[in-house]
Amino acid sequence: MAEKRMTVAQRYQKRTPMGEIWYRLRKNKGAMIGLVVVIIMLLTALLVDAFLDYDVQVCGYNVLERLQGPSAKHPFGTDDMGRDLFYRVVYGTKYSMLIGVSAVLFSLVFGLPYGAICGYFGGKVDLFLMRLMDILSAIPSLLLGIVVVAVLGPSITNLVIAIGIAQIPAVTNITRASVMTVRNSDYVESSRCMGLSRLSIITNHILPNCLSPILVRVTLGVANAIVSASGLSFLGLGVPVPSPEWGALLSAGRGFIRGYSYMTLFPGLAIMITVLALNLLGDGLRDALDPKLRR
Amino acid sequence: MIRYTFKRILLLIPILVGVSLFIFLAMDMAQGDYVDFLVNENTTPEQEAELRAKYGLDKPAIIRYFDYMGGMFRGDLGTSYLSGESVFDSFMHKIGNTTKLAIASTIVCVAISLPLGIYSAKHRGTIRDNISQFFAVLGLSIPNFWLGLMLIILFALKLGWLPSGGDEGFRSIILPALTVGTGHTAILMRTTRSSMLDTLNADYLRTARAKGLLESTVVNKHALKPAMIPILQVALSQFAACFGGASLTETVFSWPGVGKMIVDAVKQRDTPLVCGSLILKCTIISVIGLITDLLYVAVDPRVKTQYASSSHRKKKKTATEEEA
Repeated sequence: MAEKRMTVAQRYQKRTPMGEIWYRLRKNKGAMIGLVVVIIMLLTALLVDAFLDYDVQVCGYNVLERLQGPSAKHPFGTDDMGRDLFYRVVYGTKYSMLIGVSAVLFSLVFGLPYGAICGYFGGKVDLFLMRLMDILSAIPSLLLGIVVVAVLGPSITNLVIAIGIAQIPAVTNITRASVMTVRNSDYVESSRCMGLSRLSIITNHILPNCLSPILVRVTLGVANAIVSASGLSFLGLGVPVPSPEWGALLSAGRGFIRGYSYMTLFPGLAIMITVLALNLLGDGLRDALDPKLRR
Repeated sequence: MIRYTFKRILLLIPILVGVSLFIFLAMDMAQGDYVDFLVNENTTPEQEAELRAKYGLDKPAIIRYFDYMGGMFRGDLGTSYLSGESVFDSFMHKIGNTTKLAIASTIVCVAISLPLGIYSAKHRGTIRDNISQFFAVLGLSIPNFWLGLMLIILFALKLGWLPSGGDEGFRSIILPALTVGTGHTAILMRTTRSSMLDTLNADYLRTARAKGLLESTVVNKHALKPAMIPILQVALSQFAACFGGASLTETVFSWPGVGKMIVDAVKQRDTPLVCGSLILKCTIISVIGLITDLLYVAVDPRVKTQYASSSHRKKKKTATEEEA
């Protein structure tokens, strides 16, 4: 009851910065739906092994039930080996989320320090290092992925590396730009006066204040990585064969596109819903973290 | 301005050198080379060695790279291993199709995102605005190749209205263009929206309304015109992006374009073709970027004054947009 009698100003004062961001995010319906879907997807990815038996339910052949359309028993139908597509699509969540998240982590490991160095030092260092990034971003990301997979060989780890490398320029750009905006602020100047080392200034004082654009980039980056991963698997360069990665399912379904179109419908829907949720969440986060941008 | 153009073209050179070096080294490290694709169990080791010597694959990658670069400065982009044709000719055979697709996709993209963005800006903050924005994000979220498959199923297989692939005139470009175009709507739609929001509240619009002009004239003529500058800029960078990233769509629709050619060339380890095509493609994309920047200056007199100071920043901005 007491809370209701507070004025708006008091209510704002009570909120912590994090609470304020959460409050703004909660008001954005799209972002909340996205957040719920992303959490469901992550939980599915983590827990799927406890519910599904990989060898029997996901990869076990059942020739008697091959190429059946969607029914009550097989909601998404079955493929040419009689495997239940619903189980395969659900299990595929694990691959997509795993690959998406790890590829972005990979790109952060390289892109974050790289961008921070470029942004902090500026000048000639920046000019030279950014030319290297220009080279990387001049190669189309799909092609970069194909070349990297060709060098390393097709496997899940190499797929993560391939997609991660293609994401590095984006992470670098966003880190560099936001480091540049806070580099000349007074508190950085004062920590320089206090004699802190450059490393400690960058890691303790600059990067924490650049987190919000990077967080948004990470969310959108995972979405991007999932699409790239399924694209590479679609070309047959991703996850090895029996694994039900969504792009691989699409690639398998493409051969049966005449007559058995449901085989391509459901894996694609799964990619679309996941990517849509991540994009909505990312956009919502951007608005919540920086209300000045919201118009 | 001439100096700036010259500088931009000079800046392209290290990028092209870097890209080609990267490709040469990576293709050398890749498992198997072009000769491994040719040989079968009947090939003797001598024949294999002879083939390697024929294509120069017996030499280390770095030497081949310098040979290649030497040729490039004389205007020779190398010869494709597979077809024996010069890379420049192979590229020119396909670039027409890629250009057609890029133009058609950009038209689709503009036709969707411009009205949607204007509508969204007019109804800012309402449910209509949110729904329009949702559709734009939806277009961004659908994986291109899957949308392509779905369009093939619906329009080619179920309804039989349009061909499912290949290049058979105007009808076969519709589905690929829809596929690529919808993927690019989100960014252009947002630019249109925010750019329109900037102008919709301007004083001269109040004047236009006050003198009794139709609301549609006010929005479509008086507000849209000044808002067009950033829209044009983003539309052109989307056009450049269509050039760069349509390989999967080209594969799905068997569209004989550059993207598909390069992907196939990587699979066959046809290093000169990959390298030469990428060099040509990067050049085209950055020339489009340069034209965008120059147009920007030509169209907007306000930019001219602050040109010298802002040119560097603007280039960075276009680069990030292309990436996105």
